[in-house]
Formats: sequence, structure tokens, C-alpha cells
Amino acid sequence: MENHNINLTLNIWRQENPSTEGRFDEFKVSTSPDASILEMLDELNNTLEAKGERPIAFESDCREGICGTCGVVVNGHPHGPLPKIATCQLHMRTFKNGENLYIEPFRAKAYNIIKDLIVDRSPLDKIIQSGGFISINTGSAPDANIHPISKETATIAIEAAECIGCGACVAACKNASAMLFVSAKVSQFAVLPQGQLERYDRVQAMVNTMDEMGFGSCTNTYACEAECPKGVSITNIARMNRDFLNAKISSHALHF
Amino acid sequence: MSWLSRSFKTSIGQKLVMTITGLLLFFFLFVHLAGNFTIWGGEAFFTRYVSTLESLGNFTHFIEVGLALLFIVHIFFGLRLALQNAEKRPIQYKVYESNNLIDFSARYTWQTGVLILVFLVVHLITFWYLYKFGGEGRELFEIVTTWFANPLYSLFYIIIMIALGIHLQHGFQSAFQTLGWTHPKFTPIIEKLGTFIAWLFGLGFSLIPIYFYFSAIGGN
Repeated sequence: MENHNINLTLNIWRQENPSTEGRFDEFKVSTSPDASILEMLDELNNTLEAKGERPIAFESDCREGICGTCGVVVNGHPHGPLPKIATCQLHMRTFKNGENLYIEPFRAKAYNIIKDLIVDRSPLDKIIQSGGFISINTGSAPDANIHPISKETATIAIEAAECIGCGACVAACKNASAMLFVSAKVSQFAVLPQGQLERYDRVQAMVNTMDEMGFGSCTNTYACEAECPKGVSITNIARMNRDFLNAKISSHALHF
Repeated sequence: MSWLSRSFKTSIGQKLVMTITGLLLFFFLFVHLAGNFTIWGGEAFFTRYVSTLESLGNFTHFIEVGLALLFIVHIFFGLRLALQNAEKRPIQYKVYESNNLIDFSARYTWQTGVLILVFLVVHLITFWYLYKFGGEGRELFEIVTTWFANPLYSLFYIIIMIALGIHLQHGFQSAFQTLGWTHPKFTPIIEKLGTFIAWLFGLGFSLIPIYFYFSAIGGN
């Protein structure tokens, strides 16, 4: 078979554990343009293991862009330079033969590096645990359309719920702010009738946790929206700001 | 800690302070620009405007104190937010391109803000202080025309007014985003209005030094 492989120089962040200092290691690879970046790293790891060297640690799960597990910064862009894809959907044909690639972990004060390209994104889970749910007994399956919801409202909720929680918005933001993630998780409930009961407590609790976890504040630059693999809109951030202000005025909870 | 101070310590609370003070300062600039434009009516007209403000006495002082507070709060919260945010990524990226995807004006908000702060100090010393406490009973019109005859001073003034335009290009629409007043119906109008205001303020304030510098060197 004819060889269409392209040659790339990879500069990959290596770090043994959270407390050691990291560095960039250089690797020269020949890879198929049809390989995804994760497949290319798999191949590289096979080579490294065959030589008895430590493979590069990175995360992945579904490899079809819906689970939000994979996520690295490639040449300065979270999930690589193409819009609206996760790292696993980034194929090597995106790059030119002979190109230099810088592969780095998502960087933020709130994300500790566990190893190489793997970061601890549990602060995002902590935010969800503080209010990203509805506390109703769901019981057995309800009748369909028991709550009439307009097409427009359903679309807003579903578009917010498209967020896969990958945390690329934090990685993209110059302030390492998680506002796009949090606002999507607030909005998906805030526009639906089921979310009304806890609407104002939810937004305050989640914003407080977001601040405690060490994420930055939003300066409305919108880099997050540009880099989001699902194209989650910054109108969600406006909705969260509005709900937060309304909560301060009309919430019954005294402890916020 | 009361709910109020707790609320204003949150990230969104701090942004709300920036928004409210920012919008009030925008209204001040609007009035300031309108006042400046009386200079196009000639020396007598401008002096009449200045003496009208003076004749309001304590009301003017009340407004001055309010303005000073607005500026102090806006600057204090702005710098504090910038410092807080600067430490949210302790290890920087080797290659960082995400910031290049955003609007030019959004990239330099606190930097243009610092330029405006430097200008504010110079502006208060060279106009306000000199007029109020200069002691020689000079008319403000004469102070203004003397300063703008200086090319360095005029250039400095114009550069800062461009920075002000950039600051407002981001700041105006940003205020509505922080308040949550966005909608597909009116957000495009707010964005266009923000751009118009940025140009209006940038050009409007710059016209005065340009005119007086050229009339000084033209001798007319």
C-alpha cells in the first residue's frame, strides 16, 4: 500500500505527578493523516512501550466527541485548532507535513495536573454537586408532554444541555473562568418548569462553589464560546448573570 | 458577614459593581462631551457654560464627590478583578491562541483602563486643579487653549481618547451581558450602539485638541 504518512514533530508536556515540575519532550512521528490525534498518541505509546519507556498519559473514553473525557490543548487551542470538535475528533490531516505541534494539558489554577496531559477536573463535579440537579422524586415514567413546553424553550434547554462538561471553556479563558460551563448547567434547568423550584438557590450555590474552587471571573471576552466543542452560547452566561441578580432580589433563602 | 458584602465578593457581584459604576461613568462622559462641545460656540459661550456650572455651588460639589466615588470604586474593583484573574493560571501555556479569537477591544480592557487612570490624574491636575486652585484667576478657555497648543500634550490627549474608545467598545456591550440584558432582538442594537459610542467619544473628545492645536500653529 502506498504510504501517505505525514511527519510531525510533537512537543508534549510530561509531568510525573502533581508535585513535580513538568517539561516538554520532543517526539518525531510518522502518522496516517486519517488517524485521530488520540490514535496517533496510541501509536506513539506503543513505540515507547516497546522501547521500555514510559508512555504518555492522556484521557479518553467514547472517542466520538460526546463524553467530554478527552481534552488537551493543541497549538494553543483547547481541542485543537478546528471549531466545534473534541480532541478525539481532531484528525492529523488538519496538520501539514513537517509541522510542529505543541500538546499541553488544560491549564488553570483549579485544574491540578495528575500526570502528563491528565488534569483533575473534579472541581467541575463539585459545582454540579452544589446545585446542578433537581430534587424531585421522579417516580415512574410520566406521561409524555405532561408539561407543555414551547419549541423555543425546549431548544434553549437542549442547546444548554449539549455541554459535555469537558472544561475546555476554562482552558480557553484568559481568566480560567468556568462561567460557560456553569451557565450551561444552570440554564438547562432555569428555562424549564421542572427547574423553577430550586432556580434561585441553584444559581447562587453553583456560583459560590465556582468561586471557591478557584476559577476566575468572566470578563466577557467570549473565547470560551469560540473554543467550545459543542458551541454552547454565551447567552447562557447572560442568563446566569440575570438569574444571579434576580436571586439576590427575590430568593427566599437567607443563607446566601 | 452580611449577605450584601458576601454577594459583592462573588465573581458576578464584583462584575455587577463594575457594570453599574461603568454605566454611570458613561453617562458622566456623555454630559462631559456635551459640555466640551460648548467650546465650538466660541470663548464667550464656553465661559458662560463654565460659570453656569460654577453658579450651582454646592450642587456641583456634590456631583464632584459622587463622581470621585464612582471613579474610585470602578478603578478599585477593576484592578482587584484583574489581579485576581491574573493568578488563575499559575503555569502559562507555551502556545496560547484562544485569546486571539476574541475581539480586539476585549483583549485590552484593564490596560486601556490603566491608561485612562493615568490620564485622569494628569487631566485633573492640568485643568481642574489649575482652574480651581491656580490662584491667578485664569479663564478655563485660556487654560484649555494653552495646553492644546502643546503638541505633546495634544498627542497624549488624543492617544488616551482612542484608548477610551477601545475601552467603551468592549465595556458598553459587556455591561449589558453582565446585567443579563441580552436578547437576539436587541443585543445586535446594543453592540452597534456601543461601537457608535466608542467612535463618538473617541473622535468627539479628540476634535478639541486637534482644532486648538492647529489654530495655535496657524495663528488663527
